[in-house]
Amino acid sequence: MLGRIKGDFMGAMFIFLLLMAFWLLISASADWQHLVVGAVFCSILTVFWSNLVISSEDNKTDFSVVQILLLIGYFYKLVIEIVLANITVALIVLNPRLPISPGMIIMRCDLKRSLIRVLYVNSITLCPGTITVELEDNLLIVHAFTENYAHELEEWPLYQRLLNLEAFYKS
Amino acid sequence: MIIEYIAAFFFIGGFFFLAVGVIGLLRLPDVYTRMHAMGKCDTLGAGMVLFGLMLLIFDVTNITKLILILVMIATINPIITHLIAKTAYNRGTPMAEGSFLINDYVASQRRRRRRKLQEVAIEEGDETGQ
Repeated sequence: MLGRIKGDFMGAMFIFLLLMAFWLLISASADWQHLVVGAVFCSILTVFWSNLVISSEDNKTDFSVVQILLLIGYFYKLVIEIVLANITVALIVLNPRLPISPGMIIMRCDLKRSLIRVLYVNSITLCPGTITVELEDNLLIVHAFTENYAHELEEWPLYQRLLNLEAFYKS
Repeated sequence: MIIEYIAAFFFIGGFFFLAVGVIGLLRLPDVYTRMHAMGKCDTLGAGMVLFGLMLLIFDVTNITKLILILVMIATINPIITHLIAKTAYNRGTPMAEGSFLINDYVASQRRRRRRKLQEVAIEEGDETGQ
């Protein structure tokens, strides 16, 4: 357990700081007693779950500021898409004629890293008119609400953002 | 005073979207389209209600807990939607009548191959003088 933390000190430190910030927000006071108890328990948690440290294959943390900025931009776009998705669902459901034409699309997904794949699949589910049904290797099956959304998905702007985000890992 | 009106706006919006989700669950024809209504409307509905609560409470500890609940709802909801749809698909649940099926996988494979061939042809074309 300790060997992993020594190999990836930055990742362990990041997890520790995250837990510590959460503890300070929950306890909402900065006594020395609170700080000491929080530090002890955060370090115990970090050691116990040392296989959760953020690291790539060669046990080194690679996480840059540019990625955080890209992620913030991505989530900003995602919230707008979620609101639009809900408005479209409300318009379709509350319409007395129920104008739907549902169907499946089988697509290709070129993302490699698992975290970004999870982000991609979750944002497809939350975005207008589409939910993911299956993702295996690079086969992606999506169920679409109307046929227009199915065709829009092939040139989806958020997918390009995720490809940009993944390009930082490879270089 | 004005913050209460803003919170009321978020509450009413959240309740509206939650109601739309339930109406969609009752009206839509098959499993997949029902998951559309539930998976999307629950996320934004619960999110808006929690945001209204955050505006009213205005206390650091409780706002942290509410943000934690909001993040968990926003991550768990799409995953459960995906799992239900995946199970229904693997068990062979039929779609509603008049559904379409687009297979873009093979076509995109061909597109990639053609693009690679074109790149190779351009590189070789320089040598042959085309």
